[in-house]
Amino acid sequence: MSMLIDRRSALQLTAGALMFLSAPGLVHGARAGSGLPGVPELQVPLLRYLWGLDTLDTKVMRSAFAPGALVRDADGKLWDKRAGGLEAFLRAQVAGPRGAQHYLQVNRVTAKRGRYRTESYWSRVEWKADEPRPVLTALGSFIDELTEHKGGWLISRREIALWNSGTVTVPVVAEVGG
Amino acid sequence: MAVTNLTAVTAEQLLLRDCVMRCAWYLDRGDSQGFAACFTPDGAVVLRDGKRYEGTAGIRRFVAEAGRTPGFRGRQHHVQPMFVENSPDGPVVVSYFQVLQAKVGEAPAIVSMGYYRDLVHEREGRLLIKQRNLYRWNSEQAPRAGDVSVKASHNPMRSDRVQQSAQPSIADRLEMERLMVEYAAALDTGDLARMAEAFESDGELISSSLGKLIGPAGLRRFLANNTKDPAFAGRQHRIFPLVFEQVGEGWRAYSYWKVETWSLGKPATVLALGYYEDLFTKRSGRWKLASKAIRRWNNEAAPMAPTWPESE
Repeated sequence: MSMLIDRRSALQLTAGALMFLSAPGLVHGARAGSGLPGVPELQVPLLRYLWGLDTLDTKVMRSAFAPGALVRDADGKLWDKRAGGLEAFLRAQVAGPRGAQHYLQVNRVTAKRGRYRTESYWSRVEWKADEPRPVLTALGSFIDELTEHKGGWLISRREIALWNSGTVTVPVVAEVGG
Repeated sequence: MAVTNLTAVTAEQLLLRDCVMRCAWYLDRGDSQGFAACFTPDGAVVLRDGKRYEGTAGIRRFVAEAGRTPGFRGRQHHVQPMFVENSPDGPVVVSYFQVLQAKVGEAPAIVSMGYYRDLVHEREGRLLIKQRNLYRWNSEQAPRAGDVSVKASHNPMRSDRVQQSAQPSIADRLEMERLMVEYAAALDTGDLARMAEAFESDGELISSSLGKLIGPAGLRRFLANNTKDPAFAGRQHRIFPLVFEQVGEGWRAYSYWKVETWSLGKPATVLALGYYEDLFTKRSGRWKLASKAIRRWNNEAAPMAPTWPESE
């Protein structure tokens, strides 16, 4: 079985944009005229944001968001104009220590009227240079809405949550179905 | 819904991602031949101290030396490609990695983390690594803003067409990977219907503790067994797809899995480490899991290559 790629098309689509990639997932729905974005393509801004976060680079983080993007953080705070908007949110993120990496897994993608919604896990691992090993410090989730801008995808809305026994409820599945 | 008309960007990124992720499967099993085959014949691995392993023989020596170090069996490299730079020499894939280690009777530990810069070349229609540079990532050595260029230039790879033989098509690959994470997300949320949707109606789930479980009733038993644990909430299963092998009309896929958990009031921890052996079949035009075997990965159970450990 073989697979061919038209690289010229790829370059047209990525012209002037950063090419970010990663892990697995699904795309439902279709855009007329052009091909479907797959998860590796939709993850471009999600991973760009994480690289910016981990290198404490607000410029790279900002490049992941569409103009006017809205973020609700893990404390439930909506970073709208009254709260200082996206810029204030980004400044708050780079106050953290150096030496962390965030990992991402997109679990579901759904499409609606030209927008895509992704549901993802994230985890944070930090390594202090005076410690022998890195440590896992937090788990969480993102729900993102992505919109197309100049041939690429950007985050127009993001909901951040922590994922732990206090935030997640798992139903007990009965041994025998009813 | 079957996906048939994916964009070229998606295809390109999936291929580049696959090129750098699959090496971990060979490295962690001490398979020097398989690892070296991920590189061009004149490829190189460059460690953070500048030590170079060049050419197929040199790269095989790198794996052989690593394979002889204490505690090698039971380690997994989890790789997350982050972005691609277009350098004058070709695309460079920049990826996070973390190294985990599992020993029988102990909780798995993250023992190291860093990032790779993989220069990728096309050789005879295949994407291979020309040079891999390794760097550490911690509070003193992580790159700062702007240290690593993330600005793309326009430097197309030499060929405008890339062919990956003996691999699933991009659409098929994405659909199978989707089923892998559907399973994981369904498990973490106790969603039987979502999990059953990923399997054939007579699909098998092979669990080390419960044995072979068949069909929706088997999946129900598996979920019931997991969700009755009061400490189950707060877990995330992470999947790292690695290698696909054709089996008749279907595909066998190997992927790493990791369970991380966070109980309120306690530190987040890595709970378990393993790998899946999945068999995918297509019926009525849709890929499904015909079987999923859940395997452990530790210093006694990791499926090492027959040639491991290689002598000097």
